[in-house]
Amino acid sequence: MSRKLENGNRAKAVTGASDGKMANSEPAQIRELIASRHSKAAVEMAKSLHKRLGTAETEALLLDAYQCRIEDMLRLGMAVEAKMLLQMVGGRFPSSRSRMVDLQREIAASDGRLDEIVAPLAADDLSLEVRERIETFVRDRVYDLPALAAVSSLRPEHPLRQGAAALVAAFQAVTSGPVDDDVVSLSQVSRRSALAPWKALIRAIASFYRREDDACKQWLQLVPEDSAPASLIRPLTAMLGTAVTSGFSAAEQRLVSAVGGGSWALRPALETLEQALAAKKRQPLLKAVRVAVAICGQCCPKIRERLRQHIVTRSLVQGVSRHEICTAIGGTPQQDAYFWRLLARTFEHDPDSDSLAEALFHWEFFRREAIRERWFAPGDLEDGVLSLHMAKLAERLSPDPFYELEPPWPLRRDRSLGGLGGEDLRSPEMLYERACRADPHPDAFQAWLHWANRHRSWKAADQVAELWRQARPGDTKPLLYLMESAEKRGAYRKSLEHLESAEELDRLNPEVRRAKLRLLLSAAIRHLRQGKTHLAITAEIERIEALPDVSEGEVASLAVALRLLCAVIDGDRIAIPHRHDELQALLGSSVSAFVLTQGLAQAANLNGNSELPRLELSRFSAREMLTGTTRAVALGDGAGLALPLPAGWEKPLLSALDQPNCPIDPTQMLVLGEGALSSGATMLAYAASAAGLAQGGSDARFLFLRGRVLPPWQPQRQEGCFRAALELARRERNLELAGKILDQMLENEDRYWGADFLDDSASGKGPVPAELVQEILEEERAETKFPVLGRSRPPKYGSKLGPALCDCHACRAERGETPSGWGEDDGADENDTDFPEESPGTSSQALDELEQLLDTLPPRIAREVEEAIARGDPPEVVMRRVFGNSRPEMRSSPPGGKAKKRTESLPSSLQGNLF
Amino acid sequence: MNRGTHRRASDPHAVLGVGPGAGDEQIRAAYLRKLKEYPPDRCPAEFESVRDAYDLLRDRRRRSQHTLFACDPEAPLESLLEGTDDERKYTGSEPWLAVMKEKK
Repeated sequence: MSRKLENGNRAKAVTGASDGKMANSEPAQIRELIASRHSKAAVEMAKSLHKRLGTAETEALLLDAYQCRIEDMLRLGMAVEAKMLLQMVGGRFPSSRSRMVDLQREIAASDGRLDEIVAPLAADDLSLEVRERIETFVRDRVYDLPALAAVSSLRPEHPLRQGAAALVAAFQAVTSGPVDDDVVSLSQVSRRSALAPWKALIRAIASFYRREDDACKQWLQLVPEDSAPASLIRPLTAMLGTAVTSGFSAAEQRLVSAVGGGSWALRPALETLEQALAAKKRQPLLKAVRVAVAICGQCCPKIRERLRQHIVTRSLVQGVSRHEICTAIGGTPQQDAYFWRLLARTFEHDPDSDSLAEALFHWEFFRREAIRERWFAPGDLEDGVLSLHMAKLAERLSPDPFYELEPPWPLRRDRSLGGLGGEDLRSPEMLYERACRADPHPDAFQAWLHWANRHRSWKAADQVAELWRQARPGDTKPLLYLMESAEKRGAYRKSLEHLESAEELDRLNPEVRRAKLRLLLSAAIRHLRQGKTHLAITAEIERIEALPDVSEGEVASLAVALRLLCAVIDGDRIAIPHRHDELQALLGSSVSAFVLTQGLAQAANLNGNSELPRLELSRFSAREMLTGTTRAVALGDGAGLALPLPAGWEKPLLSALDQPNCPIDPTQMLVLGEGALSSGATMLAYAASAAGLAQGGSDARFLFLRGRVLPPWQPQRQEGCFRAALELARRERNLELAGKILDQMLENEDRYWGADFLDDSASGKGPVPAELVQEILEEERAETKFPVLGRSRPPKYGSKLGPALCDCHACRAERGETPSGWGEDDGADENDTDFPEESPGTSSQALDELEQLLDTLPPRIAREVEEAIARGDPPEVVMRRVFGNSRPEMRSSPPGGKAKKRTESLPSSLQGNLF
Repeated sequence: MNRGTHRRASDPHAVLGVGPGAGDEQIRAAYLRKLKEYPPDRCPAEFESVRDAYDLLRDRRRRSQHTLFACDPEAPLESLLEGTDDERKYTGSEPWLAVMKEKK
C-alpha cells in the first residue's frame, strides 16, 4: 500500500466515524499520529475535526499537526513547501504566528537568511526567553560561521559576530597547520556563548593534531550532541582509534582519508577481526571480515588488497572454506607474488606432508610471479636462496615413493601450472642444483652435500663435492669431503691426493691441518691393525712427527703413543717402558697417557694385549683422574679420534665428580661429558652436565649435552634442553653450536617426534622466551640425578613447550591415558578379539615386563637394569642378561593392586590389517 | 596445525631508516649515520639493534633471505598498517565543514 493511500485511509477512518460530535478518542488519535510523525494524516484528521467542531481545542490540535507537518517537510529538505505551508497557516490562524517563530527561523536558516534569524538579538530589550531560543537555534543549527560573522542585522562589535569571526579564523588555522595556544584560546567566545561548542571542537582538533589524544577526547565531551559541530565528533573519535558502530558517510570517509589514511578508523575493525579469528566461530568471523574489508576500502584503500590476502590466508588456516571467505571479502584476492609467498609461509609451518607439498607448490607459484613482477630474475641470488629453501622443504616431504605430490587446488581455477611437474618439485636434488647454479654459496653446496650424503650413494655425494669444487675452486671443504670419502672407502692414495690439493689451497687452514693429522692417524691405526708397524712408522708416524703442532704437545704425544703401540705389537720390551715414560712426560699425567694409549689400542684392535701398560686407578686423586682423562679425550678430539673411556672407569670418575670442590673447570667438564657420551657412559655424561650446569658459564653447551644424554623416554626434557640450548647459543651468537643443536634436533625429529618437533624448534620458528629458558635452566640444574624409568616425573616446564607429549608411563597416566597406550574405548565388547599391539616378545612388551619386575628385583640388579634401559639397551637383551633364558613369570597383578582385565581397543596402527 | 606464538622482529630497514631496495652503499651510509646518532656508550640498546640490523643487511645473501622470508602470515592484521602514512595531515577546513553540511 502506498504511503499516500495509507495516510488517506488513516484520516478517513476517523473523519467518517462521527458527525458533529467529537469522539473521545479522536484528539488522542491525532496526538498519536503527531507523536509517531505521521504528520500528513494528523493534519487531515485535525482539519476534519476542526471543520466539524471549530473549537479552540480543535484549532490548537490542528496547529500542532501543521507544526509537525512543517517540521517534517524541513527535515526532508522540502524548505519551499514548508515555507508556503507556514505562510498559509500564519494567514489563516494569526494566533499561531508566535508559536511558529522557531519554524520561521529554521526556514530562514535553510534559505541562508541568518540576518533575519539573529536580527532580534540587536534589540536591547529582547526578552530573555526569545534570546535563549535564538541562541539555542544558533548553537544547534548554524554551521555557516562565515555567514554568521558577516550578518548585517547585528553590529560588527556584537559578541556573536566577533565570536563567529574568531572561530572562523581559528578553525581555518587549526585545520591548516600547527597552531599556538593563543590561536585556540578564543577569548572572544565565552563559556555561555551559543558558539561555545565550536570553541570546544576547535580545541579538540588542535589537540588531535598535537597527538594529545586524551585532551582531544575531553574537549569532544564538551561538545553537546545536539549542537551543530557535534557531527564532527564521530569521525574525530574514529580517527582517535575508537570503534565506530556503523559505516561512514561519504563526507566522513573523505575527511578520514584526507586526514590520515584512515588507519585509526580501521584499527578497531582489525582488532575485532583478530578476536573473531581467535574465537574460531565462523559467522562472527565472516561478519568481522566483511566489516573490516568495507572500512578498509573506505579508509585505507591502499592496503585493501593486502588485507584481503591476509584474511584469506588466516581464514584458510582456521578451516573456513575458500568459497565462504572469498565471498566475504568480495571476491578472490589478487594472486600475486605477495599472496603466494603468504600462502607458502603459512603452509610450510605445518609438518603434515600434504601441507608441505602445498607450501612447495605455493613457493613455485611465488617464484614464477616474482620473476614476472620483476622481484628478481631467474638465476639471480634471490632465485638461489629461494630454491635452497624449497629444497630443504622437499627434504621434509614424505619419503614414501607412492606418495603423490598433487598440486594444490588453485584459487583461480584456470591457473595454468605450465609444466610445473610434481615430480620435479619433489626432488630436492633438482632444487639443490637450481639453488647452487643461481647462488654457488658454500652453505648451498653444504646442504646439498649433506642431503646427498644421507639419502644418496657415496658416488652421488662425491659428484656434489666435485660440482662444489668446480664452482668454487678456492674452497677446501669439498676437497676435505672427498678426502674423507676416499678414506672411508679405503682409497688412501686418492684420499692423500685430495688432501694435497687442499694443502695447496690453504696449508695453514686449521681444518686442513687437522684433516691431515686425522688422515695420517687413521692410516697409522689401519697399519697397526694389520700388524705392519714398519709401514706405520715410515709412512705415517714420521709424517705426523713432521707436522706443525695443532695444539701444544698434541702431535708429539700422538706420535709417541703410536710408537708405543708399535713396540707393543713388535714385543719390544725395552722400547715399551721407554715410550711409556716418554709419553707420560709429554702429557704430564700417567692417567692421560693411559687413556690415550688405551683408546688408540682399542682402535687398532689391541685392547686385549698383555704388553700394554697398566694403571692402578686407586693410586690417583680425583683431580688427577679427572684432569688426566679430559686431557687425553681433548687430545683425541683434536686429532678427530673419539677416544673411548677405558672399561670400568665410569664409576670411579663418577665418584671423583661427586667430590666437593670439583677440580675441573667447565671446559674440561664439557670435554669429559662429550667423551663419556661418545663412550656410552651416559651416567657419567649426565653427571658432567649436572656439574657443568651447577658451575655455570657454558649453559648452552651443557644443556645440549644433557639433551643428548637423556633417555629417549624423556622427550619433553630433551626438547626443553635442546630448545633452551639453542636459544642460549643464539644469544651468545655461537652459530657453530646453534648449527649442531639444530642438526641434533633434526635427527631427533626423525627418530622420535616426527615433524611436529621440527615445526616448533628446529625450524627456529619459535624462539623460547627468556623466562622459559630460565625456568628450564633452573629445573635442569636441580635435576642432578639420572632419570629412572617409571619414577622420574615429567618436567614442570613441559606444558609450556607446546604439543609434544611425553610418552613415559607417568606422563601418560597424568594425562589420563591408559598405561598401555591403547585407545580409550572402554565400552568395547569383552568378546571382541584382543589384538596385541605388537607380537609377544617385542620391545614394548619386554619393557612393560621389565618395569613391572623392577620392584621385585634386588636393588643392585634393579639399578643395573635401570641403567641398561637408560643407556638404550634393548629390553630383551637386558632381560636375557639378567635372567638368562629363564624369564620369571609375570605377576598377575601389580603389588597392592587388584588384577584388572584389560579390554583394550584395537590399536590404530593395526586396524588396516583387518581389511 | 601447530601455530606458534607470533613474534615479530623489528624491520632492519626501518631500524636503519633505508628503503627495502637500498643498496650496499646506502646501507653502509645509513649505518654510520645511526652510529653517530646512537653511540654504544650512551645508547647501548639502540646501538645493539642498529648493529643487528646492519649485520642482517650488509650481506647481500642475508638481505635476500630477509626480503624473501620476512613476511609473517601470522602477524596481527594491524601490522599491515605499519608503514602506511601515520601522519595526521592538515587539510584545511573544507573537508571538516563538508561533514557538517552533509549532516545539516
